[in-house]
Amino acid sequence: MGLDKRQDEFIEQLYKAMYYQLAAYARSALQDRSFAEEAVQDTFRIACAKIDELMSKDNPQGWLFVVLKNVIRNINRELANLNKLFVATMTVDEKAFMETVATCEDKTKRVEDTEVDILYSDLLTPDEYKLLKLIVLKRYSMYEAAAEFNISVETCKKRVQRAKAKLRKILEKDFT
Amino acid sequence: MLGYNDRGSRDFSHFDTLSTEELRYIIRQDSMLGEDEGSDLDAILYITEVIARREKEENNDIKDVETAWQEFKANYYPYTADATPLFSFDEPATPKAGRRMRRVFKPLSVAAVLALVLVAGTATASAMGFNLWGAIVDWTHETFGFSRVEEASTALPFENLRATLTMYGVDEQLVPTWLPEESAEDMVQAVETPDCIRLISTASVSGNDVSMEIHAYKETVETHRTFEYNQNSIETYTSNGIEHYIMSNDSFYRVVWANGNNECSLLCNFKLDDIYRMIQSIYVR
Repeated sequence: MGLDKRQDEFIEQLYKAMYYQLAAYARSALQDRSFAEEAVQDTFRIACAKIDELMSKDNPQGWLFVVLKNVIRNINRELANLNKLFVATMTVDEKAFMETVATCEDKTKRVEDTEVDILYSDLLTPDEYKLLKLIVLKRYSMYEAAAEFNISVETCKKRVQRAKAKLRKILEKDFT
Repeated sequence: MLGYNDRGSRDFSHFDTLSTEELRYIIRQDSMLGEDEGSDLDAILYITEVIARREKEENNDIKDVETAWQEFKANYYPYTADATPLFSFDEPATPKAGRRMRRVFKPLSVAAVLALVLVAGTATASAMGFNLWGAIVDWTHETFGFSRVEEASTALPFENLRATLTMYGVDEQLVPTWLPEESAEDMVQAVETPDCIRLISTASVSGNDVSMEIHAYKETVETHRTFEYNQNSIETYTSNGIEHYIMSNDSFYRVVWANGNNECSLLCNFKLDDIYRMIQSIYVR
């Protein structure tokens, strides 16, 4: 479902007028350039999805900032939830972990990475594990993670949803 | 047509006198306001204009709008059928998202401006029993802050915060083990920046929020935060050889201290005696 010509022009005009301010807000709030860029893009994506509502507003810039704040809140909340998921499932057997670290061929591998690898490699498929690791540990934006897999941001989101749901189901815990 | 700069007769020029970091700090506080806690949109628009203008002038490697627009058209515009945010990984019907973090700082429209001072330098490693930061408190009329003077090589309450600190390898005792009353499970937000990990935890105690913020710096960076306080309302309380500064701001108390590479801040509306006991509980093993 696309926008008609009038809506397209409206969004483009609003985008080019508000981009720098929204980006400045997002960078200040998130303190991460990648997430900030994604927050702004996602805000305008949502604006397109709700174009009729947006165009009916007397103050579309105010509407954009409200949406941006919600997007930022979502990013922080979801990252915290995924962090919590990782923290709560750190049940690595210390002896086994130390043995693995001692025999690990990749000397540059961080201790933290090794610990997570042991825990998650059997619970998720390699791609699912790699994707969650990019998002949670490497702090990749959805766009950056999608680029790693050469998929769309929408597909990337769905894969993260499935991986998270799978992990929660397997571990039989409610992390919300 | 879009009325971008219609701010009536309000004068926001005082924001021009603040540094860019101070303005960014204000924005961060505003971003933490809840949906039902209105922020001052006119002020936010002004501040973001100032920040954006300065960033362009300083040529801060900010992506230009044409490039951003083309990327939007290519990577995000095709997926406008779904109005939910990209970072929304639960099914719409899925349960409780957890307790939303409540506002812990006053909204922009009411509070005085919070000043933030950043000083580049080196940090010290912590040692048991005393504060190697060598922090010096600079008393000023309106604000106070830490100044670093030497370098050297950072179902209990805040349980999730404790676990998150452990995950990040922060060993210092930073979190109270006692609160005046039983608290609900705390919600932790973790944000990583290139030089530090920022953790914000909020717990509810008898319907009131108590929040704790920890900046755990990864390398030797000298960074200080400055808080505004009511004149003549700052008190020093020492526990475990560490000075804790207790300041009041309207009905709230803020406690700030430094331990190793960690800057800690706790906001609550407890009685002072309870605050003293809470501070002591940090260092109880």
